[in-house]
Amino acid sequence: MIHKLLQKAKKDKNISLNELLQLIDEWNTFYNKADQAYWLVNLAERRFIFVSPSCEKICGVPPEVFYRDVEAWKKVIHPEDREKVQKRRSVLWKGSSFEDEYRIIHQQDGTVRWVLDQTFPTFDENGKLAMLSGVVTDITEIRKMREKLLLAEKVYEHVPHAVLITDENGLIQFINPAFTEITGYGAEAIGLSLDFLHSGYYNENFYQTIRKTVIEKGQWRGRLRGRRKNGEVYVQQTTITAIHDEEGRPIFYLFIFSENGETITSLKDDLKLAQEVQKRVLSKPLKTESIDIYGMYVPSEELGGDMYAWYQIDNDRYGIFLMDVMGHGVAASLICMSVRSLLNGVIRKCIYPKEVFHELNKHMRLLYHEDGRMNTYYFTAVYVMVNTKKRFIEYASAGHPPGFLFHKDGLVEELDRGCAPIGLLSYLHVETGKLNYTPGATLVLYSDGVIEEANHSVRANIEMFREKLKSFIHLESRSMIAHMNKMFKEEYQFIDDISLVVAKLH
Amino acid sequence: MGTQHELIDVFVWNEDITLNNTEQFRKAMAKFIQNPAEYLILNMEQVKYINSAGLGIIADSVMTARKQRKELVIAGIQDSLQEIFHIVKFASFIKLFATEEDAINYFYGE
Repeated sequence: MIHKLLQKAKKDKNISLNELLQLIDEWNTFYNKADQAYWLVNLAERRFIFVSPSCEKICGVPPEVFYRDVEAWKKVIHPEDREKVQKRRSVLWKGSSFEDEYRIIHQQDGTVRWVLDQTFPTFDENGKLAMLSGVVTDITEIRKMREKLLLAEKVYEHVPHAVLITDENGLIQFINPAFTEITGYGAEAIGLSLDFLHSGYYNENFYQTIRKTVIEKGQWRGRLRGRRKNGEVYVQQTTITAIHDEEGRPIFYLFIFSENGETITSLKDDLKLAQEVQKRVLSKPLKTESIDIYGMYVPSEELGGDMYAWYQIDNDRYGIFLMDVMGHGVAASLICMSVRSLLNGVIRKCIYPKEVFHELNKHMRLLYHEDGRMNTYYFTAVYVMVNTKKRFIEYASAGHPPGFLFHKDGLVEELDRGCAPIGLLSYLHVETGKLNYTPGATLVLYSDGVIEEANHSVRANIEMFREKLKSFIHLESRSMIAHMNKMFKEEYQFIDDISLVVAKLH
Repeated sequence: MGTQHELIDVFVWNEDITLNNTEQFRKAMAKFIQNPAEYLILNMEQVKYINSAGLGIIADSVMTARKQRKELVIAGIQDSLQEIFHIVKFASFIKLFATEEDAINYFYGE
């Protein structure tokens, strides 16, 4: 700019140098560029012709000092940058302009400032370098912002959380490497709307609600399923935050997906699915003229090891089975499922308690004890074979809490014959029990979750449970279970799984 | 911890067997079974509760001892433990005694 003015001045003899300088200074004041200083040096005379007064604010040195000492600026440059600046400025002697960012030390407050130095050479009629003019701009603030931006960029790059930023229209402006790692989408996602991430699990209403929440409240948090580039679905803890400009208008939307959330929640989802599978293998209610069987299962937080099933063996005989694997978790659940898959065949083939338990014990020993390592996996179980024609039950309880046979006249018999838990011993000595019944009797089997109240002995808990059952014993199996379920919910803290099977014997 | 009665060795376990000490119990029992004595008595006088893993360890110890032609019995069983042992039908494969003395008499009486 100064360069052009000088050229104009040379052409127009009517403008004196002083007038020109005045003009520059006025311009300077007019623009009020406090962070910019203009200067002009006459090389032949080695003196400043002009220095904007704003230089004092930038470097702490008033113009007079520069008028006295043409080398004054050198002393202002940060000692570590002096040599570098000196070297780079040498391009001026070859006729090129010079532009560089470097540090200076403010001579009044001692602070380090960053400046942008732009210097232009001016030649006389003979092509000889005559003057240097330039602009010094204080860019400390800009540098700081740039550093902040750089910092932000580095943070985005290295955080394990996936970060995505859209503009106010929902078009993707930025993604970080973690996002690419999780979703498989890289730079090709920039400029797109978010639709390609939608998993197909939610309807448009759901996304509308999220948008509404972000706009009205500034943030939305929750679990979102998305779809990876390879088609897989992932679950992420997601936080969407609106970023507003100074006037409060949303300019960006920041999406942060938490990776931890993914593994934990998807594992939780898997567990839920496993629980669901476990629930579904349980037998459905069975109702004939001679028997009415109904069951319920309340899983604990974890995967449980309870399972019950019943089968009609022939016209008159039914097999009812309930088991509880030691411990919880995946191993317990797997044992349950492996027993479940055998059970139908075993019960139809063996029919009687002794044989059924021997067969299952063989299976457990073979599967879980052969190598001698999994020596603490076993399950307790109760198996009841009901003969509805002759009206008796034959049962055995393998280390399981005793089931009850409630007779119509109020007598209650406990099913306490049996053997050690299944899988514990290589050979089981099974003692079976046989009880007769008359129409109107009720058979109740349960897992130890129902008798695990901490403050009482096992015996006391069994008796308390029996008394509770008594008050609903006149009901149909279905409503009896409904009442018991309600009672469990009100009175029990679910630590363990709870399963309960009621068979009404007609 | 053990008291010697020539061919008999007694091991006293004096805390409830819960998730917190199952592993300790397992190790202690494994060591006890390796004892040269032919007759082994596990004294559980001070034990009021045993979890299912603990029951598994006892059952395993009984079987391991049997393979080595030894016999493991339990003595000093309190009411609460008696209930648990009754439910899991432990009496079907391991001898249970009210006191250590009863257990010793059982071995000497043989």
